[in-house]
Amino acid sequence: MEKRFKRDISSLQNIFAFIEQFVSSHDIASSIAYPVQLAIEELFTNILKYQSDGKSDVVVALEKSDTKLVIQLLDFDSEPFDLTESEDVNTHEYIQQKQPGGLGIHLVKQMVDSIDYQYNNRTTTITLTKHLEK
Amino acid sequence: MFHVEHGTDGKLMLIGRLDASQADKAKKVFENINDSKVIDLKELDYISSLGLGILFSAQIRLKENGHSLKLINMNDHIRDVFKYTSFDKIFEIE
Repeated sequence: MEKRFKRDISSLQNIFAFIEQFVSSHDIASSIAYPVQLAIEELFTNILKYQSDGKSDVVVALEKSDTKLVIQLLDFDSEPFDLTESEDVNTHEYIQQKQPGGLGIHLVKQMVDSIDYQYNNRTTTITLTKHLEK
Repeated sequence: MFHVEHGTDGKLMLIGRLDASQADKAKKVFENINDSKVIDLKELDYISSLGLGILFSAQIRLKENGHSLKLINMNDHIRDVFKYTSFDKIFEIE
């Protein structure tokens, strides 16, 4: 199941509605749904912030198998930015330095089981995997 | 959607979903808190990094002046988010 979303913060409510539709129709527990919503929001807002010159819609795709949920975000007009190479946030240092911001990717890394980044012909594809609880 | 209600007992109640599109509403409220306050999260269903950052900034500013925010009635998902960011170390959470 996939859908295109306008590259704008106003798309966030439509993205949540799309996730909710998928979660409901696939009987996915709230313990999985919350991290999925959070990961997609953080990646989408990251695209808006760091790929602000892009013009294309952003595709969100969700696919469920027996054991895992695969989440993809595709940005067709982007510069290379490999979030998997971003430095891990040391939250204790972060607190001591009193710096707000920069926590989004840290949370994504905490909440999913794997992250893959691909970049070809200006298209960024981010693939997240979340294992389903038995 | 997200909104804030002021309880008659002085508590501040966060209600709904505090996502990036709603963060400005929260920012306006928390920037105007100048003393210790209990924040009731019983009806807060969701928070992402931008909302966390607003709470964090308010807590740091208040602590520098001898005050603090106390968070109560947090759901398990939001509790996880606080744990993953270690923000559970800088807030009193009940």
